[in-house]
Amino acid sequence: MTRMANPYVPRRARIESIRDECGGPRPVRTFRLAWADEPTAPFDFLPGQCVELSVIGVGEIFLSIASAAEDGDRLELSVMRVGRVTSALHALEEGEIVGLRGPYGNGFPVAGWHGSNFVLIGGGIGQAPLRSLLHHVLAHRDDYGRIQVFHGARSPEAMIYRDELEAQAASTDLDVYLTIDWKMGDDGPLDEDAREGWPRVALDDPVTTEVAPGQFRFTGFVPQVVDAVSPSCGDTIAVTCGPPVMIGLAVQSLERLGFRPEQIYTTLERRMKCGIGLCGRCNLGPQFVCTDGPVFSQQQLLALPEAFA
Amino acid sequence: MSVPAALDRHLRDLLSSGQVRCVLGPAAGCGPRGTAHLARTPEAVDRFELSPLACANVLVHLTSEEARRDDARRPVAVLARPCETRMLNQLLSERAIERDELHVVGLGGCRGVIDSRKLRERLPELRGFPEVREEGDTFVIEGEGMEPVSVPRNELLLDRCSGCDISEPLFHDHTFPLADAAPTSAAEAECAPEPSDEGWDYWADQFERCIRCYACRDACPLCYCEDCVLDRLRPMWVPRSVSLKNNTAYQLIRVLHLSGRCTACGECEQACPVDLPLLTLARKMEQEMRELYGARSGFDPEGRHPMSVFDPNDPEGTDFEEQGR
Amino acid sequence: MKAVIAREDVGRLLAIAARRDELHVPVLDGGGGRFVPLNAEDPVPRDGLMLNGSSARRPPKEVLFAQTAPLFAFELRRGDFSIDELPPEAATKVLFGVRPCDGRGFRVLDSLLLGKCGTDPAYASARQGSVLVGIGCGRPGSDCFCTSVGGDPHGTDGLDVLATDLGDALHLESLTDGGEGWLRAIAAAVDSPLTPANPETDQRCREAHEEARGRVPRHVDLEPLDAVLERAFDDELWDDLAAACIGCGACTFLCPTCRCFDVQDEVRGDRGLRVRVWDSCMFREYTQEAGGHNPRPRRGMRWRNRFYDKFRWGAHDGQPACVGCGRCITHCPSGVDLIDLVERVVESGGAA
Repeated sequence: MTRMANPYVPRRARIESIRDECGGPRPVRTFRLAWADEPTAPFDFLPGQCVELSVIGVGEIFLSIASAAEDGDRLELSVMRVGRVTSALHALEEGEIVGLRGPYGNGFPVAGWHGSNFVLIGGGIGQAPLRSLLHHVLAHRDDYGRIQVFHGARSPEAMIYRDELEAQAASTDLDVYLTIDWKMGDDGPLDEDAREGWPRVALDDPVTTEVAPGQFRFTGFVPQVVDAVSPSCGDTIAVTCGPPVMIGLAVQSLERLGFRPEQIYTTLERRMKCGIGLCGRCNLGPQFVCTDGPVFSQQQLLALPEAFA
Repeated sequence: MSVPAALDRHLRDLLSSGQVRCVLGPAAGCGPRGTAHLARTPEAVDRFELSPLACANVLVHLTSEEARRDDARRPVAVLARPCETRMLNQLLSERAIERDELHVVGLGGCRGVIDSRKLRERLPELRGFPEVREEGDTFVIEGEGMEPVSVPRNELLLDRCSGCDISEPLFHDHTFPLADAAPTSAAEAECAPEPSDEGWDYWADQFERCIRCYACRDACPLCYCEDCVLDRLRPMWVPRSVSLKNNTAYQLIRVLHLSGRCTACGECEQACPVDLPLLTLARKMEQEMRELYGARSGFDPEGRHPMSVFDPNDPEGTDFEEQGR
Repeated sequence: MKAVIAREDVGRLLAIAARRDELHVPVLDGGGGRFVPLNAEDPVPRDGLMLNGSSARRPPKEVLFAQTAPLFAFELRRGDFSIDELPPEAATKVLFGVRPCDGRGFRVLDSLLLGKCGTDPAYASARQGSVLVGIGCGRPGSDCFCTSVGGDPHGTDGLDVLATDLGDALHLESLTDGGEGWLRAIAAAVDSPLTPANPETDQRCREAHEEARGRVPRHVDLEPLDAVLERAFDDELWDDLAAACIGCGACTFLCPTCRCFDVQDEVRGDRGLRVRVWDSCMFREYTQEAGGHNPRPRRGMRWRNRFYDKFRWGAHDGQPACVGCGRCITHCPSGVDLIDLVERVVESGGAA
């Protein structure tokens, strides 16, 4: 009897470096990983694909990859501390070993998107898979058109990837629209000082919020900012990821701007276990987020039950 | 109509006047088994069923996750057999529900209910929910396409009913007699619980069989914690693996969390899909609490349960060394 | 191959079978019955075997898809770990006394666990070479409805051998190459109690099949269901249907086609196992995300998911993923009747 490879067994990967992305009650850290054992061949994956990351002895989580395959033999995962496994992960140090298996899921169909413009709309940790896509697109900048990145957080302190996005906007042909919730920061209502440099959304004249070439700052919910900026839908792919409420409203904004369901993509999150379509829990009707997704077009989601739950 | 005319009228009035937001009570379930029924309209009152066969987990729906979602302040009317008013008392004493959220329709003259498993075993050819008449010391069962069969009461009574000493509701807003049957003779069965004396081997055999479906917990009207310790992952008090060790931990934690509160209603045992004798555990716990603290749950709506009260004079419990074990 | 064995010789047949392979048979266990391994040296008491009346309460699913199964072992070191893959089970498993509904159940499990996406190695190795010896249901249980979902009390789908109860004897017929091989091997044993079938036993067999079909007690017309489900998803109906449910996992754990599982690390000292353990879509925690969001927060939604999964999404080969064994009905702690629910869904017509 031939013995099949056990798909549940992770490989050892070393934490090369850890970067704090944001603090607060739900801090985010980015872990840069490399295979610890031979073969150390590069990670090969599409932006939007996922991995199963293990803190052995605690458990395993399904995560969108935050880097792009162009990074070669390094992989980055941004992890928000929310539960048991993520807390254990945040307690690890550089040089320690985690378990890794994957990549899983479909990823973004980037091959078919050559020549397109992009509108990327992320909220909180939902920016991670968009970062993967952005890194890929920037690595092949000439293959794509205009890029507009919308990114929201509860407060300036809770915003991940801020320095990186602003640096990218400064050095590349890219527009970045950052926004923070105007109501609440992590420690309660934001006062005027905390909002300095973060003007309220001005629906009539969004350009006044340009703090540097290609860098815009707002105070307001992400979909409001999308409304205010009104990106063009022509030859454009919109990708959104974040809290379900934000995704829902962002999609409405996009539809008002003339985006058709087949132009809008979302990458979904569910509670995951096996990652390989066996354990049953991440189903959207007959499909599984882990294998059929996590990337779905709005057109696909409209036909799937519980897609917007 | 499945309930006596006067009761039917009362329930319809409660609903049509808006005095209660719904009526919770027993109905015919699948096969010879009862189910809970929630009537929100006067028409839905038709489904209630007071047959001694209709007796499955009604009260759990008062405190369930779904009931908590329903935040309307108008009271729920409950059709409660006498032992169920004991459970209501316990829930009131724990403030799991408030008295003004309840309209208790007590069912008097209870002579016990039928264990559907015993009935299935006795009459395997039975299909659907049969008619049941009480005649003296027998139940007369009339199933679909069957000649009526007389079965002695004590062969079919639920274990919890043997030795039950409350045949009238402990409290009520209204009360209706269940039937014109003669009141029960208290001597029907012995009152003392019969904990198994086969010891650990016996329980190991039982717990080994547990499939950890959580039906015993989910059927318990007193297991209303929103965040149950048995579901927790951090820390994981009981590993998910199904093994004698983990199953035992699961069952003992469950039972201990009910100590001094459990009214030995037996819903856990009725719910168990693999026939674990959980009522025996419950009764053992009830007996211990009575012996140690003189406490009997569910008889005082203002009562505090002994495990939530500190008393420097509390007995220390069994001293195993003294017993030479 | 067809063969006949006298009723009183079944014990001898099982002894031969248990010498050859890892044999599992249904026995009464105080909990309504389940499959246990049979030791050739220490045969089961005759009255404990569940080959006559109703099916074992726990389906044979657990023999090949254990409720708890280790995925691998690990050893923790400071900031590091090593993994030990566990050897797959090598023994050929023979299940004797599988009811036809449960045989079809394995077909559904195959499609889910050896599916298009991934393969569960423990199930695959347990399934490889397994022989399912079915026994027809001469007296179907009180809530059986196999004939409504494409099955039959003597259905052969998924089985390797079918035994038919002729009263004083069992008639055995192989259905697959694996079944043929097993039956021939049993017949070839020096002390084999098998005798050849003949036209008379064949005839009695056909009569038994016909008779049993008429004894299936419950029926439900699924024909209109799919069209209703097409539009009933967002109906208010589901919360009402789930009203009596207490949200336990009994229905899913007793179901021969449910396979959802959880994965957990269980550690003792510096060693541990990553295990997969059956889980239930009826539990609130099943879809509860660490961040707080739950896409299926209400019991009605969880019921809807299970219902659709059994009757629409999980369907394969044109048949529902429900095999009509009736266990979830008979043993539902809250008296919820799946057939009644199907009828109420159809009646609603998918009003939304």
